[in-house]
Amino acid sequence: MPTSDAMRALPAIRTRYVGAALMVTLIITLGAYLVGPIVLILINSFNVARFSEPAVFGLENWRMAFAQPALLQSLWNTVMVFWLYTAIAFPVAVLIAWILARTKIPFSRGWEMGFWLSYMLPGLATTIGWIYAFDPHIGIINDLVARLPFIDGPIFNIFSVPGIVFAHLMGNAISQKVMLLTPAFRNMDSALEEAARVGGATNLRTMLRITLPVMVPSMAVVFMLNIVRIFNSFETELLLGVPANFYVFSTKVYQLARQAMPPQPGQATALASITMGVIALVIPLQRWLLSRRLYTTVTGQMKPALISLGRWQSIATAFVIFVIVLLVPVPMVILVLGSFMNKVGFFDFIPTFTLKHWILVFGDDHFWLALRTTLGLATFAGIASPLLFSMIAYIVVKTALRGRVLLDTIVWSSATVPGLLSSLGLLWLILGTPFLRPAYGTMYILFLVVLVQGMLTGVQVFKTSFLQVGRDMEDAARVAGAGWMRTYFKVWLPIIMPSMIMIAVMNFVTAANTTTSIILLASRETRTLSILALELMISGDAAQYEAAGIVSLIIVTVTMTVAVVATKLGYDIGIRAQ
Amino acid sequence: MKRIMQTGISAVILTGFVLATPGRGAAAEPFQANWAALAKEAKREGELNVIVGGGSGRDMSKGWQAAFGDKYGVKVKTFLGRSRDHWERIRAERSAGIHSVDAWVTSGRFPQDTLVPAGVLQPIMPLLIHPEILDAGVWYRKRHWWADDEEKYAYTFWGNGGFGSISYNTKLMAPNDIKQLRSWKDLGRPEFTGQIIVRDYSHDVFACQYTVYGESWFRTIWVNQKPKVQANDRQGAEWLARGVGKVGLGGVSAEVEQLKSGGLPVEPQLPHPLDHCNNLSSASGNVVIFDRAKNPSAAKLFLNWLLTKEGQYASQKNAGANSLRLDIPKNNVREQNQRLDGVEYVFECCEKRFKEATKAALDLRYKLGVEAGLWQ
Repeated sequence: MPTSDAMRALPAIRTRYVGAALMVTLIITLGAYLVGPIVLILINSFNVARFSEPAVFGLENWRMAFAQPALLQSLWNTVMVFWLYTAIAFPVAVLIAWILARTKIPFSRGWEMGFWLSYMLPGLATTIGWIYAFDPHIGIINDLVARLPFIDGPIFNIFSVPGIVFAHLMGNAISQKVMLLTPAFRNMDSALEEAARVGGATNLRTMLRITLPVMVPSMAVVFMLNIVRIFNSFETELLLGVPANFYVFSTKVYQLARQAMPPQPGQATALASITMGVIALVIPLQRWLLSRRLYTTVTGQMKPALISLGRWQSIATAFVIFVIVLLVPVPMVILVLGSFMNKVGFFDFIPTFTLKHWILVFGDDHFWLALRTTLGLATFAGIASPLLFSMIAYIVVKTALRGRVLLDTIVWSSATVPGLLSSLGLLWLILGTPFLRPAYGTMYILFLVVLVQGMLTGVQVFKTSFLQVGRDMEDAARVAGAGWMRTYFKVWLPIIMPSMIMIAVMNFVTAANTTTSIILLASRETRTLSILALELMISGDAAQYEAAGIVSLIIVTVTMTVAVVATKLGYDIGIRAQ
Repeated sequence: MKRIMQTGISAVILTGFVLATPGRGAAAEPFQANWAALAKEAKREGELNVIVGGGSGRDMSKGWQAAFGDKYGVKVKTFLGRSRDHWERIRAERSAGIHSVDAWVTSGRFPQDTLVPAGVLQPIMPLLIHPEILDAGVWYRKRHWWADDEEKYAYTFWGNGGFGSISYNTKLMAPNDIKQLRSWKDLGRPEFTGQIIVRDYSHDVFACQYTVYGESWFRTIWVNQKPKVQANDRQGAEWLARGVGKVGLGGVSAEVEQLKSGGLPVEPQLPHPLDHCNNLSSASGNVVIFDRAKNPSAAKLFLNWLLTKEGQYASQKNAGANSLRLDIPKNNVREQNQRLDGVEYVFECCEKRFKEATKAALDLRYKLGVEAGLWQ
């Protein structure tokens, strides 16, 4: 007969076993899914036999990869471009996030949506838009300015290093950081800032000495997320760098994986292995940073008030609006106006405007099928991903379960290789796994892909959110008899709601826009709008940029509608400032 | 009497000979029966999976369901997108024992560079049963054309005419300038320095120029003349229309033609032939059939249909390309793709003498481009 002590210990034992079982399940499934493809493509990089011949292992792929011309130069170019746009984007984004979340700026949520809209705009469309503006030969802005009597030649060449940096800034470099940082800044107890002001500190000094240090986890995570993506970005560099004979590392990987005849995934993997070295440094660094001190900002006594900047408020507001005007209108105008033009950028084309691209898109049965597929995938990703990521983040930072470090490492490893290679590894994994193979070519496999897409960003964001929340509220809920699920929905969810909404929208957008991660897995019946847009641009006697732009416009419209609705819902549930 | 017997015996022998020789009527019966059986088997399979690549593939494939699929009760599924993406998928599938694709209609180099070395194709000739195809006399220069070196796997059915793949800006090139552009070597003149728009090294071959003019021509164009490299055909055509250069080399003609239709000052090709290397382009007009195809009968039926008069006329119609069949009307072929009488065309993709020069030309152009700082 069990003793009363043993009876009291049963729930704790059950909880421990449940926790352990959950951890093992997560490690095995995520490990297989995220690390498995990487292992497969790494192993294949040592196979130097031709296709249909038995495997022969050697170092030839690695030798040829690292014998690429100007490889060191391309690595240096990558680092240089990254630091140039990060040096501008990071402080600007931090400042904007602080203004939006901590000050009494009017229409704060609206301006925040402006940055979300910028994030949603496809990077390719944004870059093409700026090409039409600043192409040294045919750019509209260059052409207009050159007509001034004192101007000789184009004022800005988009096909240059400054052009690449500019395109990144106008793309996601600023908007993504604002999106990620603003919710974290919002979850801040104003008591700390009030104490500083009572002590005589100015708003600026308070921001620099109080607010920013407390926000270190969030800022550090955002910074590190950008570092690991440094070798993945290639579209902008491909469009703007190649015409100027400027190559970055990811361009070389892309050339091997997608442009070489025949494709050389083995060599591309060998080159991409450099990213692993970066990840290997980042993982322990971020763990050390987050464990150094407490970063609690949300407690039971939290007061989420905003500060007034006085006479500086209008200047701050104008600054935010100015940045939004830079980020959003040009690509939007190009997308919208271009969709009605016979040839984008050619006002002298006769006739200049037409509806034929809209008719082409809406008259295509594939478009409607792709729209349904996209909505299904993106909705699933928007709902399921935040729940999964928040659970993983909670386990990593809020529990004492064994295996947390391994789980965190597995999550970081998802960024080890670029998407265009990891998708290949995923294809091999699925085809080589008996119980996954029946799902090949179906929507289910795409659900799996989009579910974990953005896992690295999502988990890190939730980690910082959980780090901000003190234990007192959770302990109070437990003392009152609430189990984990009740505590999660009644205590955690309202606090992390801004992050939930943000990750939900980000994943919705990512799922709607993604091509590289699903293009090898999508069948004819499960094509998404983004794949359709890609086909319009490359499959045809002449590139149908305008029709592809319409598809991108529809993606933006859908994602923006979802974002507005989700944000309204989320803010009604979450913490609101006084 | 003896003579009568000799005549009679001769008549018997002659009659036997005639009866034993398969005439047109006798031969038609086995073909019709074979064709019907093939069509029946294809209908039973019910579908055909074709990857369509190259610039004009999409346009060509638009009419396939109506012209072929509906006629034979086969659902035609076409797969667009990047060739390399399709190839990665096929490789992975075949490694797992999955064979999902039946045929690939694409540009000439891809089969030779990627598919043939991988050993995934089956020879075309054994699959051809339609008498309309087998008669070489109906094809250009009375022969079958092949995009692969072994002349077995990649059947070429298009040969678009054109004078040297040189587009030009009509405002920057006066009529007299155009008249004087008679040879590829003329592009080395000073007035073309910095005025030539070229594609990157992964496009075009210039094997004929390599054979005729040698390495010095390449150095002249890609190094001395300081050409401007375009990232893609659309950009190249736009640059040409805006006067960034006087001429554009390579396959931007489709984009240029679109800009010309809108009143912009460009022409997709010269109005006269050059002294050498007036190249025919196969564009997307090359077909391969996979071994262990998912629907082998549908694939065989499609291949034969595609190369018949009906199939070739249909493929011309949607893409405006020029079939290599000589026995079909050319009224639906775009003007720039017409093959004109009296012009000495070369067929770089498919003539043996140029196939050998292809690799050397590609390697040389890449090397010179690196030297000139055009690409890495």
